[in-house]
Amino acid sequence: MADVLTGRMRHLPGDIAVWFFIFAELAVFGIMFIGFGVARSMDPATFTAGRAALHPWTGLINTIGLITASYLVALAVHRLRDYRAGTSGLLWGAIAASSIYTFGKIWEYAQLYSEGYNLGTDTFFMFYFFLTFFHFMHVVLGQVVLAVLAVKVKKGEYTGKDMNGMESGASYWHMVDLVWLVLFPMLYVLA
Amino acid sequence: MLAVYITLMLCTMGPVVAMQAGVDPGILVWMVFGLVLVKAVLLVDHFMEMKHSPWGWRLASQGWAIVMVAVLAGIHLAS
Repeated sequence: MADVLTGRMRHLPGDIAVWFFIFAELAVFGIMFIGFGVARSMDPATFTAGRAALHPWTGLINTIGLITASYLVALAVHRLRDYRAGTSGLLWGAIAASSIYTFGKIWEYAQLYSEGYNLGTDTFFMFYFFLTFFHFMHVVLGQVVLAVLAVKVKKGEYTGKDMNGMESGASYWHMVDLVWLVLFPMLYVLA
Repeated sequence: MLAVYITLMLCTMGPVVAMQAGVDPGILVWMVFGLVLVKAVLLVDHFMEMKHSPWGWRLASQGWAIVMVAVLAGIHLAS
Protein backbone atom coordinates (compact mmCIF):
# COMPACT_ATOMS: atom_id res chain seq x y z
CA MET A 1 0.00 0.00 0.00
CA ALA A 2 2.78 2.34 0.97
CA ASP A 3 4.52 1.59 -2.34
CA VAL A 4 1.35 2.34 -4.28
CA LEU A 5 0.94 5.65 -2.49
CA THR A 6 4.59 6.52 -2.98
CA GLY A 7 4.26 5.68 -6.65
CA ARG A 8 1.25 7.94 -7.03
CA MET A 9 2.98 10.83 -5.27
CA ARG A 10 6.06 10.63 -7.48
CA HIS A 11 6.05 13.47 -9.96
CA LEU A 12 8.27 14.48 -12.87
CA PRO A 13 8.93 18.23 -12.54
CA GLY A 14 7.82 20.02 -15.70
CA ASP A 15 6.53 18.90 -19.05
CA ILE A 16 7.60 15.52 -20.41
CA ALA A 17 8.47 17.14 -23.78
CA VAL A 18 10.97 19.39 -22.01
CA TRP A 19 12.57 16.31 -20.50
CA PHE A 20 13.03 14.70 -23.91
CA PHE A 21 14.64 17.95 -25.03
CA ILE A 22 16.87 17.96 -21.91
CA PHE A 23 18.04 14.41 -22.54
CA ALA A 24 18.71 15.19 -26.20
CA GLU A 25 20.85 18.14 -25.10
CA LEU A 26 22.67 16.03 -22.52
CA ALA A 27 23.39 13.42 -25.19
CA VAL A 28 24.88 16.04 -27.51
CA PHE A 29 27.07 17.46 -24.75
CA GLY A 30 28.01 13.93 -23.71
CA ILE A 31 29.25 13.03 -27.20
CA MET A 32 31.33 16.20 -27.32
CA PHE A 33 32.80 15.49 -23.86
CA ILE A 34 33.80 12.00 -24.95
CA GLY A 35 35.38 13.54 -28.06
CA PHE A 36 37.33 15.89 -25.82
CA GLY A 37 38.51 12.99 -23.63
CA VAL A 38 39.65 10.94 -26.63
CA ALA A 39 41.45 13.92 -28.22
CA ARG A 40 43.16 14.69 -24.92
CA SER A 41 44.38 11.11 -24.57
CA MET A 42 45.95 11.35 -28.05
CA ASP A 43 47.82 14.60 -27.36
CA PRO A 44 48.06 15.31 -23.61
CA ALA A 45 50.91 17.85 -23.95
CA THR A 46 48.82 20.22 -26.11
CA PHE A 47 45.89 19.99 -23.70
CA THR A 48 48.06 20.62 -20.62
CA ALA A 49 49.64 23.66 -22.30
CA GLY A 50 46.20 24.94 -23.35
CA ARG A 51 44.77 24.54 -19.87
CA ALA A 52 47.71 26.54 -18.45
CA ALA A 53 46.64 29.50 -20.60
CA LEU A 54 43.16 29.58 -19.05
CA HIS A 55 42.20 31.58 -15.97
CA PRO A 56 41.00 29.05 -13.35
CA TRP A 57 39.73 31.76 -11.00
CA THR A 58 37.50 33.16 -13.75
CA GLY A 59 36.16 29.66 -14.29
CA LEU A 60 35.57 29.31 -10.56
CA ILE A 61 33.75 32.65 -10.31
CA ASN A 62 31.62 31.68 -13.33
CA THR A 63 30.74 28.41 -11.60
CA ILE A 64 29.77 30.20 -8.39
CA GLY A 65 27.50 32.48 -10.44
CA LEU A 66 25.76 29.52 -12.12
CA ILE A 67 25.32 27.51 -8.90
CA THR A 68 23.94 30.58 -7.11
CA ALA A 69 21.50 31.08 -9.99
CA SER A 70 20.40 27.45 -9.75
CA TYR A 71 19.88 27.82 -6.00
CA LEU A 72 17.73 30.92 -6.52
CA VAL A 73 15.68 29.17 -9.22
CA ALA A 74 15.10 26.19 -6.91
CA LEU A 75 13.95 28.59 -4.16
CA ALA A 76 11.67 30.35 -6.65
CA VAL A 77 9.99 27.05 -7.57
CA HIS A 78 9.33 26.29 -3.89
CA ARG A 79 8.03 29.79 -3.26
CA LEU A 80 5.58 29.68 -6.18
CA ARG A 81 4.37 26.22 -5.17
CA ASP A 82 3.73 27.46 -1.62
CA TYR A 83 1.80 30.52 -2.92
CA ARG A 84 4.34 32.84 -1.33
CA ALA A 85 5.40 36.23 -2.69
CA GLY A 86 8.87 36.96 -4.04
CA THR A 87 9.13 34.36 -6.83
CA SER A 88 9.67 36.95 -9.52
CA GLY A 89 12.39 38.67 -7.48
CA LEU A 90 14.23 35.39 -7.00
CA LEU A 91 14.13 34.72 -10.74
CA TRP A 92 15.54 38.16 -11.52
CA GLY A 93 18.17 37.47 -8.87
CA ALA A 94 19.03 34.24 -10.69
CA ILE A 95 19.42 36.15 -13.97
CA ALA A 96 21.70 38.64 -12.21
CA ALA A 97 23.80 35.85 -10.66
CA SER A 98 24.10 34.03 -13.98
CA SER A 99 25.19 37.28 -15.62
CA ILE A 100 28.42 36.88 -13.65
CA TYR A 101 28.97 33.84 -15.88
CA THR A 102 28.00 35.54 -19.15
CA PHE A 103 30.13 38.63 -18.54
CA GLY A 104 32.96 36.49 -17.14
CA LYS A 105 32.92 34.32 -20.24
CA ILE A 106 32.90 37.31 -22.58
CA TRP A 107 35.84 38.78 -20.64
CA GLU A 108 37.71 35.48 -20.85
CA TYR A 109 37.09 35.17 -24.60
CA ALA A 110 38.37 38.74 -25.08
CA GLN A 111 41.47 38.02 -22.97
CA LEU A 112 42.30 34.81 -24.82
CA TYR A 113 41.67 36.41 -28.20
CA SER A 114 43.95 39.35 -27.33
CA GLU A 115 46.64 36.82 -26.35
CA GLY A 116 46.35 35.23 -29.79
CA TYR A 117 44.23 32.17 -28.98
CA ASN A 118 41.34 31.23 -31.23
CA LEU A 119 39.51 28.20 -32.68
CA GLY A 120 42.42 27.43 -35.00
CA THR A 121 45.21 27.63 -32.42
CA ASP A 122 45.27 23.90 -31.61
CA THR A 123 43.00 20.97 -30.73
CA PHE A 124 42.57 22.08 -27.12
CA PHE A 125 41.39 25.57 -28.06
CA MET A 126 39.15 24.21 -30.80
CA PHE A 127 37.38 22.15 -28.12
CA TYR A 128 37.57 24.95 -25.54
CA PHE A 129 35.94 27.60 -27.74
CA PHE A 130 33.44 25.22 -29.33
CA LEU A 131 32.28 23.58 -26.07
CA THR A 132 32.18 26.74 -23.97
CA PHE A 133 30.45 28.82 -26.66
CA PHE A 134 27.87 26.09 -27.24
CA HIS A 135 27.24 26.06 -23.49
CA PHE A 136 27.27 29.87 -23.35
CA MET A 137 24.42 29.97 -25.89
CA HIS A 138 22.43 27.60 -23.68
CA VAL A 139 23.00 29.87 -20.68
CA VAL A 140 21.77 32.90 -22.65
CA LEU A 141 18.67 30.95 -23.73
CA GLY A 142 18.16 29.93 -20.10
CA GLN A 143 18.32 33.57 -19.03
CA VAL A 144 15.64 34.42 -21.58
CA VAL A 145 13.49 31.56 -20.23
CA LEU A 146 13.95 32.81 -16.64
CA ALA A 147 13.04 36.36 -17.68
CA VAL A 148 9.84 35.10 -19.35
CA LEU A 149 8.99 33.11 -16.20
CA ALA A 150 9.62 36.14 -13.99
CA VAL A 151 7.33 38.34 -16.11
CA LYS A 152 4.58 35.70 -16.24
CA VAL A 153 4.73 35.14 -12.47
CA LYS A 154 4.58 38.89 -11.87
CA LYS A 155 1.50 39.17 -14.12
CA GLY A 156 -0.14 36.31 -12.24
CA GLU A 157 -0.19 34.02 -15.28
CA TYR A 158 1.85 31.40 -13.40
CA THR A 159 0.67 30.47 -9.93
CA GLY A 160 1.18 27.60 -7.53
CA LYS A 161 -1.95 25.96 -8.95
CA ASP A 162 -0.25 24.96 -12.20
CA MET A 163 3.51 24.46 -11.87
CA ASN A 164 4.12 22.95 -15.30
CA GLY A 165 5.58 26.04 -16.99
CA MET A 166 7.67 27.06 -14.00
CA GLU A 167 9.05 23.57 -13.42
CA SER A 168 9.84 23.11 -17.13
CA GLY A 169 11.83 26.34 -17.27
CA ALA A 170 13.60 25.53 -14.00
CA SER A 171 14.52 22.02 -15.19
CA TYR A 172 16.05 23.45 -18.37
CA TRP A 173 18.06 25.90 -16.28
CA HIS A 174 19.35 23.16 -13.96
CA MET A 175 20.37 21.08 -17.00
CA VAL A 176 22.56 23.98 -18.16
CA ASP A 177 24.14 24.05 -14.69
CA LEU A 178 24.59 20.27 -14.66
CA VAL A 179 26.51 20.40 -17.95
CA TRP A 180 28.79 23.13 -16.58
CA LEU A 181 29.54 21.05 -13.47
CA VAL A 182 31.24 18.50 -15.76
CA LEU A 183 32.60 20.98 -18.33
CA PHE A 184 34.32 23.29 -15.84
CA PRO A 185 36.68 20.76 -14.19
CA MET A 186 37.19 18.98 -17.51
CA LEU A 187 38.62 22.13 -19.14
CA TYR A 188 40.15 24.02 -16.22
CA VAL A 189 41.50 21.23 -14.02
CA LEU A 190 41.75 17.90 -15.85
CA ALA A 191 43.06 18.97 -19.26
CA MET B 1 18.37 23.64 0.34
CA LEU B 2 20.96 26.03 1.77
CA ALA B 3 23.07 23.08 2.93
CA VAL B 4 23.03 21.68 -0.63
CA TYR B 5 24.07 25.08 -2.00
CA ILE B 6 26.97 25.36 0.47
CA THR B 7 28.10 21.79 -0.29
CA LEU B 8 28.03 22.51 -4.04
CA MET B 9 30.14 25.62 -3.47
CA LEU B 10 32.71 23.74 -1.39
CA CYS B 11 32.89 20.89 -3.91
CA THR B 12 33.43 23.43 -6.71
CA MET B 13 36.15 25.38 -4.93
CA GLY B 14 37.98 22.27 -3.67
CA PRO B 15 39.72 21.16 -6.89
CA VAL B 16 40.72 24.70 -7.93
CA VAL B 17 42.19 25.44 -4.49
CA ALA B 18 43.93 22.04 -4.51
CA MET B 19 45.33 22.70 -8.00
CA GLN B 20 46.65 26.12 -6.94
CA ALA B 21 48.15 24.52 -3.81
CA GLY B 22 50.09 22.13 -6.04
CA VAL B 23 48.35 18.88 -5.13
CA ASP B 24 49.68 15.90 -7.09
CA PRO B 25 47.85 15.79 -10.47
CA GLY B 26 47.27 12.05 -10.08
CA ILE B 27 45.31 12.64 -6.88
CA LEU B 28 43.63 15.77 -8.23
CA VAL B 29 42.11 13.90 -11.18
CA TRP B 30 40.35 11.37 -8.94
CA MET B 31 39.30 14.10 -6.53
CA VAL B 32 37.67 15.94 -9.44
CA PHE B 33 35.89 12.81 -10.70
CA GLY B 34 34.52 12.10 -7.21
CA LEU B 35 33.38 15.66 -6.58
CA VAL B 36 31.69 15.93 -9.99
CA LEU B 37 29.61 12.88 -9.09
CA VAL B 38 28.66 14.33 -5.68
CA LYS B 39 27.71 17.67 -7.23
CA ALA B 40 25.69 16.11 -10.04
CA VAL B 41 23.69 13.89 -7.68
CA LEU B 42 22.99 16.81 -5.33
CA LEU B 43 21.92 19.08 -8.18
CA VAL B 44 19.70 16.49 -9.82
CA ASP B 45 18.06 15.31 -6.59
CA HIS B 46 17.56 18.60 -4.77
CA PHE B 47 17.58 21.50 -7.25
CA MET B 48 15.99 19.59 -10.15
CA GLU B 49 13.72 17.85 -7.62
CA MET B 50 14.27 14.47 -9.27
CA LYS B 51 14.33 12.93 -5.80
CA HIS B 52 10.53 12.80 -5.99
CA SER B 53 10.26 11.84 -9.66
CA PRO B 54 9.57 8.34 -11.03
CA TRP B 55 12.67 6.20 -10.48
CA GLY B 56 13.45 5.71 -14.17
CA TRP B 57 13.62 9.44 -14.82
CA ARG B 58 15.70 9.96 -11.70
CA LEU B 59 18.09 7.19 -12.70
CA ALA B 60 18.43 8.56 -16.24
CA SER B 61 19.18 12.09 -15.09
CA GLN B 62 21.67 10.99 -12.45
CA GLY B 63 23.07 8.42 -14.85
CA TRP B 64 24.22 11.03 -17.36
CA ALA B 65 26.87 12.40 -14.99
CA ILE B 66 27.82 8.91 -13.81
CA VAL B 67 28.31 7.71 -17.40
CA MET B 68 30.26 10.85 -18.29
CA VAL B 69 32.61 10.48 -15.33
CA ALA B 70 33.01 6.73 -15.95
CA VAL B 71 33.88 7.25 -19.63
CA LEU B 72 36.29 10.14 -18.94
CA ALA B 73 37.91 8.18 -16.11
CA GLY B 74 38.20 5.15 -18.40
CA ILE B 75 39.86 7.23 -21.14
CA HIS B 76 42.15 8.75 -18.51
CA LEU B 77 43.17 5.32 -17.24
CA ALA B 78 43.72 3.96 -20.74
CA SER B 79 45.91 6.89 -21.82
